Amino acid sequence: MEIIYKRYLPNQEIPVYDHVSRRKLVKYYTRDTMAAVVCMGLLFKDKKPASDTPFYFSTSETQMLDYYKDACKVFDQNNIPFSSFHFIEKAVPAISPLSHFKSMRNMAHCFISIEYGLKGDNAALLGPASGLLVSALLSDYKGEVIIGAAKLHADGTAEAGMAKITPQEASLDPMLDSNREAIIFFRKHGLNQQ
Amino acid sequence: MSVVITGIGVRSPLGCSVKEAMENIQKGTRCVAEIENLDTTGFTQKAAGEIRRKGKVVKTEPWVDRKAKFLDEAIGDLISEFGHTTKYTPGEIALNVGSGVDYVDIETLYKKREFEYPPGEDISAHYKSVKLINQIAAKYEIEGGTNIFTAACAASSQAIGTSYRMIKKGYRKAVITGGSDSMINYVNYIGFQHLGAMASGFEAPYACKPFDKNRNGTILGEGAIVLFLEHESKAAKKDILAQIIGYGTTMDAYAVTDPDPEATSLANAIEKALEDAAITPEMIDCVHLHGTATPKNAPSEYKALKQVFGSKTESLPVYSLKGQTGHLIGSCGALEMLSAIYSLEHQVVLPTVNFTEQDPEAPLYIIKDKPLEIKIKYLLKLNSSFGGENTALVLKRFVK
Repeated sequence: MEIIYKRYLPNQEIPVYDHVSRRKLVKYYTRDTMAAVVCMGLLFKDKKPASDTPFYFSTSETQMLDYYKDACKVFDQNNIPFSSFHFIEKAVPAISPLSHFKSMRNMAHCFISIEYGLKGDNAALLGPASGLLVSALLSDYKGEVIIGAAKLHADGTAEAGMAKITPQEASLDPMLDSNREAIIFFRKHGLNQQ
Repeated sequence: MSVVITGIGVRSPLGCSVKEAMENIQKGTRCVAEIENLDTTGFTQKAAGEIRRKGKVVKTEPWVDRKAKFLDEAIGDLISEFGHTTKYTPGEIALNVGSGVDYVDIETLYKKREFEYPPGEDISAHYKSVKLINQIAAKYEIEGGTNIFTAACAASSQAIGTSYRMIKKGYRKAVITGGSDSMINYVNYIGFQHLGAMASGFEAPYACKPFDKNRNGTILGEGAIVLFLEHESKAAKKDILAQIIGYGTTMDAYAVTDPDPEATSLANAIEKALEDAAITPEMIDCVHLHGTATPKNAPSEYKALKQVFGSKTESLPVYSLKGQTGHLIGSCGALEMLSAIYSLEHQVVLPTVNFTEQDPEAPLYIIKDKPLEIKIKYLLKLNSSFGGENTALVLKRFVK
């Protein structure tokens, strides 16, 4: 198994532009997606994966409330109560259209697949490591598959990990039956490799 | 020996019991109407397929995350009404569900400006899916793992496909699987509308028009639907509703918002599922398509079928449930398994509700007016996501 794990503190710049060819799409990225893209770039810096390589990716709980803070401010500034009408008239224009993309769970999986042309067996998951490792072990693919996970913390800290793993390796990992977050798999293995 | 479906729990626009849902599928009842559970003053589109019991919308307070509440109820029904879980130890059963974006109770957020816990609850105005679903698994003593699938419109199909693989390969003895989603709330409904995929200009019950020449978008629905999957060797024949014999999933890797217009990856998902099922394209009797009613969906699905089925495509009966219910996003594939089971049990392809005029860009064989009675042994079920994930499931009729 080959693994890359990265963690970026709240104000730390994530060097995502070093690892993307479709730069216009970066505005849709959350910080954890950026971190995952960097990990993917480092994992495949020498040779891109074959397009049929299976790719399974897990996100963590997103702190989506941040997206709606500007809408709250509109209500504060105008001193108006909540109502459907006011929501549509005042709040919706204050919510960035990008937030709709950022709150969707499968976007990191999608963006990475687009960047690397990954069209094979796949799953977009949330939460536990078990789902990620089970998906890998159930794969019929002959060879290594790609697994990844990312997490955006409430303070803006972003962490991500990507790995090449065989179904056999997935079946032997102690986190196979774990309900702990998928990112912990990468944190643990990534720190061990450093 | 195959993987079989032996139980269903349902909360959906079609109803809150299997009997009620199947009756409404048969009748082609239009379950999309103007939203009742939410004040929609100011909305430019007000249509949705809300969860109904005996025709009436099931209403909840704003601080209730509907996708969690109804998933809890659907699993409760599945366990109490079918009782198959008693055959297995808690560790032998997994829970695999498709789900959507988190529910943010924006009304409470504005009023309280902080995330106070509702009385008697230990959750806030931001309802986090992992915690809620893990709580439900614990409540029903499902200890074989909880996995949440999030591939948007393909989420529940990926959950069902992975569950099929788990049992087929002996990783788990049984799986409760399906999906639960509700985007019929302020943030998610308007957000979805802003993505440009929602229909406009039609009366609510007629707004979602799968495959129709005049379609201009989809309509949101909501629901929680769970299936009990187990190995055929462990199931009583009388309980078997259908067999799952093949699964394939691929990724478009084309664009975030649009399907690949050439549909090569969707075609590849079909080919993988057929290969997994060890059958040929000629053996498929009908196809239950994703059929969202968005302008780009129908031509894309037609092109995928054309690549796999060739000249048979124009005579292969196809169907979409979404005209009746709206698009349940993270749980659409699970709900559509009910109509697939209906087709297999009753040997009919039902008319697609709200389809009236053929689109020359998608010359599919869509049934109108009355059910098409044909012999159906193998049925293909497709779903595709906003984001590019594709799924194909092959179902087989079980002769009791």
